[in-house]
Amino acid sequence: MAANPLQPYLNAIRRTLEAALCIRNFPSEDVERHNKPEIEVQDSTNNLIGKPLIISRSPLERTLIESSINSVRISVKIKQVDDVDAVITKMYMRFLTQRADQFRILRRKPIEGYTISFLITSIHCEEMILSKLIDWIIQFMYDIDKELSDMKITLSKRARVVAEEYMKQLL
Amino acid sequence: MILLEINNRIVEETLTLKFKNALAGHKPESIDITIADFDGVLFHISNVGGDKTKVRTSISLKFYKELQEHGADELLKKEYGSLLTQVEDGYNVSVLIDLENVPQNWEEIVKKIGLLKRNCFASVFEKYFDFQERGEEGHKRAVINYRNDETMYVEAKADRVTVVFSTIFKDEDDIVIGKVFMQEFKEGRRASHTAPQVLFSHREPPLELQNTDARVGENIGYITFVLFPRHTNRTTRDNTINLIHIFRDYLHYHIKCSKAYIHSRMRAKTSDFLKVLNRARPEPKNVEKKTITLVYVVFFHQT
Amino acid sequence: MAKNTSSSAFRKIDVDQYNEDNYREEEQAELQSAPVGPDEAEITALMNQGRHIDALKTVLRNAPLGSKNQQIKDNALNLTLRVLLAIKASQIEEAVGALDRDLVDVLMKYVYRGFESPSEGSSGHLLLWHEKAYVVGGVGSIMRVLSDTKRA
Repeated sequence: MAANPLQPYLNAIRRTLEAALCIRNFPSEDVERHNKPEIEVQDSTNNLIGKPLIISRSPLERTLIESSINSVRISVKIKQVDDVDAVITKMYMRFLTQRADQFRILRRKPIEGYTISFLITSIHCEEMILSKLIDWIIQFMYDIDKELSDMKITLSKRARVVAEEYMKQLL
Repeated sequence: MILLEINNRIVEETLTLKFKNALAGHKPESIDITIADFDGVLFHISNVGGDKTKVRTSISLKFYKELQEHGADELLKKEYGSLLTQVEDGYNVSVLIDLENVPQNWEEIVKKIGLLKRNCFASVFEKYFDFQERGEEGHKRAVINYRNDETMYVEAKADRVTVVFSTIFKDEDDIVIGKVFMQEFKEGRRASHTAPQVLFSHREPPLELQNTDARVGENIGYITFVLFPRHTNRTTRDNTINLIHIFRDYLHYHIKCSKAYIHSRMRAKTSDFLKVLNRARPEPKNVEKKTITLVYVVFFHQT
Repeated sequence: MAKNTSSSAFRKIDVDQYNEDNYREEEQAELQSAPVGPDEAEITALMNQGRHIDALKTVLRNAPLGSKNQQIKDNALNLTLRVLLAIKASQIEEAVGALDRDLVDVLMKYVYRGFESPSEGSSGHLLLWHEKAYVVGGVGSIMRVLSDTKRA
């Protein structure tokens, strides 16, 4: 994987996540006996939210990491060059977000301008091993990129075979 | 299976079974089945007047009237001859086989009946191929509304026959995938330089159909085949008709296959993702499970 | 009933303001003369002489982090990015090595700011900077970008 062109990008994300995922249980300061992810509340009057960080690989491909005292939101914009990319990505993301419950850290809706978002709260950090969670996110980003481009290639290969078979018959 | 079969396999297999049973001397059994085919075509195989030895196969095409204008009746008469029978109510064409005296060439007859749909379609192509062969121009273009909202146009020139399909992509994703396919069809001449020219236009009809009532819309695509005498002459025309009349179904079939493939792949990968994610959780406690089974057993004993 | 008990004005008193633990934004730095950011002419001069590393040091040392003037900050950002992108990939390690810890933190802030407005090819270069700055500054450096109120 060392020669992977994605590696510097993923490294930077991994390191940023390691810094950002320093979170703890933190009850809401506004509502008694509530405990909500501060990053989703977005109350700028208290000082619980860190500076949102963006790591970009190209104008089309970037990751937004927003951290707060008890939660971190990670939004990924996946590279989509043409319509086919957009369709396959859309199908894939719809498929994933429909299963958000099973993924626990997956947000049902991405943040505006991004393809997919994750929300990691202190509770997730308590029930999962943090380093493995970060590993997973990095692996996910790597795999999804590969999957999407594989699918696109297979689609055009299929189209070619289908067209050629037909035309070969039509002498 | 890359290319679609143009015959109807269910019809063929059902009739083959009937003939074989009759030849083996089994008692004939009654039959009444309805079979759907592409483009809203329905087949109905049944017994006539309760006589189990008389098996009638009927076909219904929503656009048969339009085909009749182009000589479908004559073509079918030529093709099926004495097999044709009184048309069943609600259907367009019926053929009858008699199990009491099985003809020598029964296998051929079964094949023929399986191709009923193809032969209905063939009439319009035959007619325009003939026009081209005789160099007759200026005939009105044939318009066949082969599906709701989807139309086929056939027109003959002295040196070519153009066949245009309009097709609807129900899903906006289909448009994009369809475009990928059509791009390859356009370039399909690379595979065989004798292949006809294929053109694709999205949203608006091609030039020759402008100023007609051809529909315009975001989800409509027009596919034009330009067939040259090479494709329309007596020896190759059957093959050309076989392929052309099924084109729309072929395209949509493969669009759906592609989506199904993407879907199955997503499914596999997603469960993969989940498996790895679950490894991030520390070992689950197995103790809980045991207590549940225990409670269950106790409960069972009490009842 | 005594008259004053019906008054509910006391309910509206913000008691939190008397809480000793209450967090208050530090009244910071206005005392020092407001930073004006790095001097563009000076940086350009250094760059033209090929002294990129000195240019980097100067631009980072004079970064107007505490400034409230967005215009000054933007100017400084553009200037810093110009310096960062001008330094060749092979020189980055050396350049980062020449910075002290505080300046590495400042550098990290600008790297992240640079990611926010990617232009063709800039992100790849900044990823390299990120890599090298991380080697020196570690997680702490990123942490300070997240939490520091004096933003680039």
